Amino acid sequence: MSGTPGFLSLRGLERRYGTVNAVDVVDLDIGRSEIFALLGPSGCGKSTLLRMLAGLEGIDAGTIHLDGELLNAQPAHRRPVNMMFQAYALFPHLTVADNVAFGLRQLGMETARLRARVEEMLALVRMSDYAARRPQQLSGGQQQRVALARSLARAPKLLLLDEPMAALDRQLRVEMQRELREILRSIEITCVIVTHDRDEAMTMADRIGLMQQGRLVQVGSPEAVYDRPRTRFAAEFLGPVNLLDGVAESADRVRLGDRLLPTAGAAPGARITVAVRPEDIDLHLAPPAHGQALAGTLVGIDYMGAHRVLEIEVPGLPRLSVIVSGSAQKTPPPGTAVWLDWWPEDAVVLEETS
Amino acid sequence: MPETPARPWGRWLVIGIPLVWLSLFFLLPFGIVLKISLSEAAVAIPPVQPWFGVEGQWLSATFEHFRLLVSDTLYLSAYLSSLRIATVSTVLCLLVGFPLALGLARAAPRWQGILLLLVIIPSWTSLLIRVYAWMGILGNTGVINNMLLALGLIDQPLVMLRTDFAVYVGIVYAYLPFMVLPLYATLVRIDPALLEAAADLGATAPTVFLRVVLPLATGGIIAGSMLVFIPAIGEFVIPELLGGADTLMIGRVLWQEFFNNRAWPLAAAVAVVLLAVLLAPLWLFHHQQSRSLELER
Amino acid sequence: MSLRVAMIVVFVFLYAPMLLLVIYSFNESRLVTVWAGFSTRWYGELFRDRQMMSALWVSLRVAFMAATTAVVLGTLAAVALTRLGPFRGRNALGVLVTAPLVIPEVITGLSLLLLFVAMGQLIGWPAERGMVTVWIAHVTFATAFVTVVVAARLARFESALYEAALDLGATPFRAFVQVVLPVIAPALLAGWLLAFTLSLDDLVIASFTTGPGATTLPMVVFSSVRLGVSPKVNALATLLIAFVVLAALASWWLMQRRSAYRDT
Repeated sequence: MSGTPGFLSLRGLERRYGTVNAVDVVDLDIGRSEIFALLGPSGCGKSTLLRMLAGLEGIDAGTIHLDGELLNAQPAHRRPVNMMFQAYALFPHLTVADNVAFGLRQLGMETARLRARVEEMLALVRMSDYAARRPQQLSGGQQQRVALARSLARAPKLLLLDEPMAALDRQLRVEMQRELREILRSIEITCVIVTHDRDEAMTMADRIGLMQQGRLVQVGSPEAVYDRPRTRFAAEFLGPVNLLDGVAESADRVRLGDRLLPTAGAAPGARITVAVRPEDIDLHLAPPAHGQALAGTLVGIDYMGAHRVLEIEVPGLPRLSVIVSGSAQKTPPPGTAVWLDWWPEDAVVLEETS
Repeated sequence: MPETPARPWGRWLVIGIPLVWLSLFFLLPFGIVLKISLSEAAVAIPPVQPWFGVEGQWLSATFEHFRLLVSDTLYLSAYLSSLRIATVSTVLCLLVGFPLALGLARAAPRWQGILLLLVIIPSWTSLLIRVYAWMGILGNTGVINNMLLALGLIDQPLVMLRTDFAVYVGIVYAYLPFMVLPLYATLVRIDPALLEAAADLGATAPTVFLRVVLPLATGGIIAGSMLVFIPAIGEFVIPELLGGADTLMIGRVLWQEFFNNRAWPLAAAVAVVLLAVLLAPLWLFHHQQSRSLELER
Repeated sequence: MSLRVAMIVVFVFLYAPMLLLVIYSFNESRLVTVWAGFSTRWYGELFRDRQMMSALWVSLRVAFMAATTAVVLGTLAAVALTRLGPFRGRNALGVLVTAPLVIPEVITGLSLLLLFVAMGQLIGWPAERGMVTVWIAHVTFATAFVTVVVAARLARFESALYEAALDLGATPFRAFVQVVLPVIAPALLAGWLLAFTLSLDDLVIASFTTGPGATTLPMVVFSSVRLGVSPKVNALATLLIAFVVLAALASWWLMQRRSAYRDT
């Protein structure tokens, strides 16, 4: 994390629709120049939260401070906050240059400075050659760049990105994610991104805030949220995972069936669920010496290019997925007996909240 | 749908039947109007020289009717007054219709259907009846005067019926749905995110309206205005029932020349000039229609 | 909020005059706008008015025939304009179809009358003007309205449905009749109703193109109203408004049902 904490500060933020709490008591601090991703499934309240920051949505309770200033009562057009809209919302009746100039005109900026600023912004997103075009004449990626230039032109203190890649096709997405991240880093802007795509959140953000039913359920760096999910929901939303129910034998041992496997931080005697990522499971073709590996049978193989996903059946447990990489020849055929184990820190004990 | 080479005659029937009907009963008549406007008047039934003049010389053209239209100030002032009344009514219609259309477009989707229906219903009832309704409201013993007299606000009835004011009210009332529908159609298609984007970029509500809503509604404004302006210029019923004897409108003049004076060639000449006046707005309307049809697809 | 107030004001402007017509149709007094107690006597007088009733019958017959013909022609024109791709004369058809929407009625009426007169002199038909000539005139301008309504619907029509029918072996004609027509049926009905009311309402074009023995209802109403307000006309207006409101409610109900059907 970079910058000083609390540049953007949310306290007890709430938004209700009838009896539903779209945003349910959110507390969050985001540092200056930090890129923060709000990640969650559709309907989790992330877009509502973003629109509250923009001033496009009312606030039922709580406060929003930006750079020490209370934003609550400021209407959208007065906030030092700009947003890149989901489908970009470029004005179809204006040229690219006029779209970028729109926000500057509202400031009453003199023509020479305005023109210079528009050129600067278009150069930043490498769209200088398209200034006279209309948005309809641009490709999706080009429209996105114009939308970015338009939202950056007023030099906002906070930039909001609403599903920035949703309107692009898959191929272009990866490319644009990288490019967008470079631009945002280069101008050191504070930024909140809303997305339902975990890869997008992990590639672009310094920190991720995972949202579920209006609440922030976990906040942390992409690695932290991925490797140490706190709930079943967090574990599953960030990627494929094996969820295994067992009883904690001691602080670092969990009983799964008739074997004891390593884990970390369990309360002895409790029924717990551990989450193990498929790539963290070690596969053995002979029983390891410690004698406490899960014994199972290989039942299926999915070839995914660089790696393979093996399906393993272990008596008394749900079917497990294991990811192995390396040469395909080394993969045993289905029906082979295999043994599985993992390192203690790779089996995360989940909170039984959900 | 793809073209179907298997049955080209089916394709030609689909195109041909409406094309022939409209050519015969819509296009051809204009040619005849032009021909009659150049014919001699006659004391006969019908009151024009026969189609084939004496000895088959059927192109015996005369410009006397057009000359009359130019020389007699009655006609010139009728054209000008029609243009004035139609222009003012169109602007009034736009001023009344725009907030209504905007309100419709912003209403909750489940209300839009019923509200739209409420706008259209009046146009399903008879124009004649709706104009007639205003006779009972604006007259000297009409609803408004009765109320004002009873309240003691006036002691002489206000003269409203048989004035230009009544004609404006009548045209706005009768043509309002034609203004509102195209306006609504364009306004409802404006992506709300554009308005939010404008506000996000610092535009105040009036600026959002002037710089985003209005430019994006241009198509609807043109279509609606033409749907009011063009028929209003030639309007007959409204000035006849609500206007005064001095409310000159060209539709009324044409009617009187035709029915009262039985001056068919002169009426035809009036129609020809009126059509010429309307060519520019007609072209504008057609241009707008085909553009929105293109967008539709 | 101010937008809502503006909307209410405009709706009052639209409906108050009609409401007043209805109220005063139940007025005992011959002076329409001076209230003299509730009465239905003008409805009785309306139905006993021979001239009005026979004019109504003429108008209904003309409107029915004109609307039906206009739906056929308008649907053909709409298909030609939206679904047949480019062809020679497409622009001409487009102009011919949209122009009658806005051409002032006095011009349309006059030009059609002059056509009928010329045809009568040239080929002996129509020898006399009457219901048939009014029918032709009404078809001509109502077709434009039907075309607009149907073309708007066809433009949104999912081509895959038609193509699926062809793929399953239907001829283009059968595919149109069995697949396209049922789907666009509500638009056809809307177009028919629009054409019907336009024809029923028309005064100007009918005045030009009619002949002896074919006086339409608006012509009778117009000559009576010209002389001032009349309680009988109020009664007639009330019946018409009631009819239109019922039709509107029915179409709204149909729309609701259809959208409920779509949602499930």
